[in-house]
Amino acid sequence: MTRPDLTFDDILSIMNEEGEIVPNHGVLLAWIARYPNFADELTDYFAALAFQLEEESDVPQLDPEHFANLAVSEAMNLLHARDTARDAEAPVRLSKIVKRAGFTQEAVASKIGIDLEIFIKLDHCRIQPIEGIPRLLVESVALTLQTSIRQIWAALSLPKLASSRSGLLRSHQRPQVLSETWEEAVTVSSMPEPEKERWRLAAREGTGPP
Amino acid sequence: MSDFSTVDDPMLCPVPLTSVRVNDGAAYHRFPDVEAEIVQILRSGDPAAQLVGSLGEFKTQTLVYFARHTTNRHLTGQLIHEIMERAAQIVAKNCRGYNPADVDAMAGEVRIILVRLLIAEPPTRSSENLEIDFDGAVRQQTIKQHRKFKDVPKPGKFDSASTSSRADPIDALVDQAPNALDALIRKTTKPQLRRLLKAIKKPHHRKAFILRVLREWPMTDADPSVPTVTAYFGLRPKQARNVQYWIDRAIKEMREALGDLP
Repeated sequence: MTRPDLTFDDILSIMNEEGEIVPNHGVLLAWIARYPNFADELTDYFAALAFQLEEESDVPQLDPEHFANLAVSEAMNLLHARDTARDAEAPVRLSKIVKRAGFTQEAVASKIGIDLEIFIKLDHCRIQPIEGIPRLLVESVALTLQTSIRQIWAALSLPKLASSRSGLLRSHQRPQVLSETWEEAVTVSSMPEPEKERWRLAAREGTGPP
Repeated sequence: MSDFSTVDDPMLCPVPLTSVRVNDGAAYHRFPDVEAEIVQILRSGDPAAQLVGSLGEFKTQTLVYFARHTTNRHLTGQLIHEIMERAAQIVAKNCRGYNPADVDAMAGEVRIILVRLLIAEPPTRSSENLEIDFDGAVRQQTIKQHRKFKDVPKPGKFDSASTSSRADPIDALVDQAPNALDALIRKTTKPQLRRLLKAIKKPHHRKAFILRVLREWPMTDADPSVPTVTAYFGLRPKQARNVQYWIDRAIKEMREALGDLP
């Protein structure tokens, strides 16, 4: 019984996994026995392969430059549509974007050169105002997560989040979520001094959403 | 800063593939030479410059990897251009024997499929296959298109032997066929036999010969689910004689051509 989620393209990939196909009738029957739902496609594929293997005529003319130009144009259109759809989504927390991209927060923090504490503060939108956050940082996060810069700024603009709900419940005072400026967050972080200085320099080179 | 590799690996290793083999459950992996090339580019300090500087020198699988793992759209475009120029050669090679209009139509279909596979998100078994056996995957996608351009003779257009009530010459041909084939095979080597196939004038005669003689498809079968030569041409089992006539004609033409060979 063919798995319902398999497509004929999957079957072709499975053929590739198993090495070169000899399009003899016996081999065809074996593949049909494995994937009976694709019997017609397999039959035509095996026949076409058998004919091509014996084909001695000249290779037809196909302009590679034209073929490639059209492909690039189609790819760019698809990528643009994908970016637009992603930008149109409701803003989500940074941690969600990280998870969706298949990474951990620690890995992303390490990749862009900040400590985990700052990353969590960014995720909880507790670095305010966002106009003080270096553009270099946001660009690096977007590049690492393969998403748009606009989506990262949107994530940083969400309402502040407390670090612990239980901490808020224990508090005798009116609950409030504290925030820090970028400079304050960098100063209290555990990053080595040269890294702190690098991020201060980045802030001097440009901050806030474009 | 590189945007091509796994971010949690300081050694800048390529992002692993996600699919698993059906037979043994082993993870898909690229060939070692491709992995080595990717690592070499990742560690060059400036992968984009390295790629653009020597685009023609890298393996296609390597270019596919970087086309997928960069957010630099300009670089994506350059990589896809190079990849698809290479794909065009494979497509053309696997469309031999078709007329120019059909070749263009098939190439268009394959191009659209390849573009979608190149930028597939999330990756699929087929898209990851491009990083393992690019040439094989393009060949498969091209051959897959042939069924849409299957050239089978229309009903009533068969060139059969005779419809008269006199002794049917086709019967004589069928009887002689095994001897004729034996004689042909005895006199030829396999590459020679392949060249002789060009001497068969009608494409459906050649196809019938290939399926029946070279690929051992049965002419008919009591089980309708078994692929047969007659079914391939959209014929009923009782029309097997027509197909046998095509095969005999094919053998005759090949034997004639053999006589012309030096």
